[in-house]
Amino acid sequence: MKTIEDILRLIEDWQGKGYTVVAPVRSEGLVSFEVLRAPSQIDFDHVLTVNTLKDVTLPRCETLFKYDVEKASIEPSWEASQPIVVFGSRPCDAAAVTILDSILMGEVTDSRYARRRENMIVVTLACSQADEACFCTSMGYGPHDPTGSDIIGLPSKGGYVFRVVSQKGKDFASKVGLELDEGRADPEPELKRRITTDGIKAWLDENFESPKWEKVSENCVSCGACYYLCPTCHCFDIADEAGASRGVRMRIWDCCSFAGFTKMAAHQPRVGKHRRYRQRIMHKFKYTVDNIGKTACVGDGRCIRYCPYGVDITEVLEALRE
Amino acid sequence: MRSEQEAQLRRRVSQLLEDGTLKVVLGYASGFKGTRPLFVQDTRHVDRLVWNEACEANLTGYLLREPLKEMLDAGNRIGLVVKGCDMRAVNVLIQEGQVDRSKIYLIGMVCEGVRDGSDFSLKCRNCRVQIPEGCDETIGTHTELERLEGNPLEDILKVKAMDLAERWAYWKQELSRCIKCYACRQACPMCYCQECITEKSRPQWIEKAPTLSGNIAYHFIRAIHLAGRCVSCGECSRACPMDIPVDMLTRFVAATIEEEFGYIAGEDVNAKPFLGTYRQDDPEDFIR
Repeated sequence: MKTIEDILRLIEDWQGKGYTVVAPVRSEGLVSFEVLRAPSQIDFDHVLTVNTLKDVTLPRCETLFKYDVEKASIEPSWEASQPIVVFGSRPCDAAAVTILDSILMGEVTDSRYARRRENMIVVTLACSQADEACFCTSMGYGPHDPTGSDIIGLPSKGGYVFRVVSQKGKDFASKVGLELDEGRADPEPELKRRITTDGIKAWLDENFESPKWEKVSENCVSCGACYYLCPTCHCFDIADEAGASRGVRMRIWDCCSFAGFTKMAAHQPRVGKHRRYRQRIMHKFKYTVDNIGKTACVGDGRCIRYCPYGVDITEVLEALRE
Repeated sequence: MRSEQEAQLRRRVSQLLEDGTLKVVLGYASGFKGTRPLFVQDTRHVDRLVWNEACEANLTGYLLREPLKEMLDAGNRIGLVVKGCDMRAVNVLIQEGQVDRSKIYLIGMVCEGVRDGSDFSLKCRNCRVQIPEGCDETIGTHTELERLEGNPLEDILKVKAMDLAERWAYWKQELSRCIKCYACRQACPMCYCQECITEKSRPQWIEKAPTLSGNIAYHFIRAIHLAGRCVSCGECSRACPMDIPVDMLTRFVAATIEEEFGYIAGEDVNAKPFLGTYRQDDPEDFIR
């Protein structure tokens, strides 16, 4: 078993060996993944960070290339490739990484995403608590689930026991000399929120048009909080930040709630917020299942926690199938 | 008083729906964060309506959004549960010609203060509209009301007291967290532009990306666009998932306008919009 002090010493050691460590940091009321300056910044007590590992793998905005029309030049923009250890992600966030992997490194490879993934080690700290928005067990995961982790630390008597999950984790452990632990993990916390996903996919297959879409999206005000904080949502837009002749082309998160989502010069295929909310549910619980065989939801509950107007995805799923 | 108000609210909404006065009533139900909006169309659902300290949200913005906008456009009359402070937003929308007063039915709740977590909301400090005015009916008694002490501008004064470098560092830190999810804009009852400047691409006036400069451009433009219109309801900050006190910017502008011109947005439904009027004897030259 490793105590918190042991862990902080480990992190310091990894930083010393040249790894950039991204971990949950508390700033006033908010806990978010940040590049760690010092190990002591790590917060061990939160349920879940506000942001997700998308901030590492698929950041909210990035420059693709710079251009200059007069000089007829294009200069691709790549950040320096550096090994990153994500420390203290929760099992739901780690599981979400496997979903994004299947999508962004599946049939077509997103080279930027792939490069960041290659350089990223996921060291998860499993959950010793859950809040009322958590529903990972309903999505087939769990508070101690190792899916997506390279190494997982399971809570044990006030500290953590570390286990290797993947080959990448094994290589990392031997490279940095991380000793793995024997010893038993504490029991997993119970989750209050539970739904069954039985029949949801079948309902979605049949009900692209249904009056229920308007009902379930009633409270939605078409902001992007649920999307932007979702660990599996991955739509993006391409925009130029341009002057008269020079500019940069950027990739920026986009969101199906927004009125302008997929709006084209001649046509808006999703007029009305219920059609856009339908896109969100369909994308997660039908299209992704059709495409990669997995649901694009890990039950992290952020969309429930942060929706300013109480749209509750588990309630929506149950109301649709009802 | 609150539980009696809640019971009366349910009775009244039931009656108003049953006798066909209203097509739908927007009020509060219990939710993950205490309460959430509830659209009641069916009298069987009136028991889901609640009235308590967690009814902090200002629901006025829904009047201009789906599905209420379509219902109003189709000629239906709609009920809205409001607090005295929410009335200011309703008034601005009426002043600006966005809402036809005869198409909405306002159920005013006498308010003992709402809470943001465990504390009373900042907007409740020194509240002068605990008894809503201008509603179609008011629920609650006027006795036993205790005015909450304190200054609703407390947070702004704190930032204003910082020196320039400190203040810049403060806003840099706050606004760099912004992910441009636009929850603030979508929550704001006054942000009803059909196309927000952030969405314009020909020309693209401001950076689309949620970089610090792009975020500053967005929030500062929003603050200026809300000059004389922000009713200090705090809905933008309440909606922000990243805990950014964006309402400080718009409330600061509102406080400046009150100080300089004695104008409080939405206080008087018959007043002209602040930036929509001028005086012949205005001391400034540029206006004439």
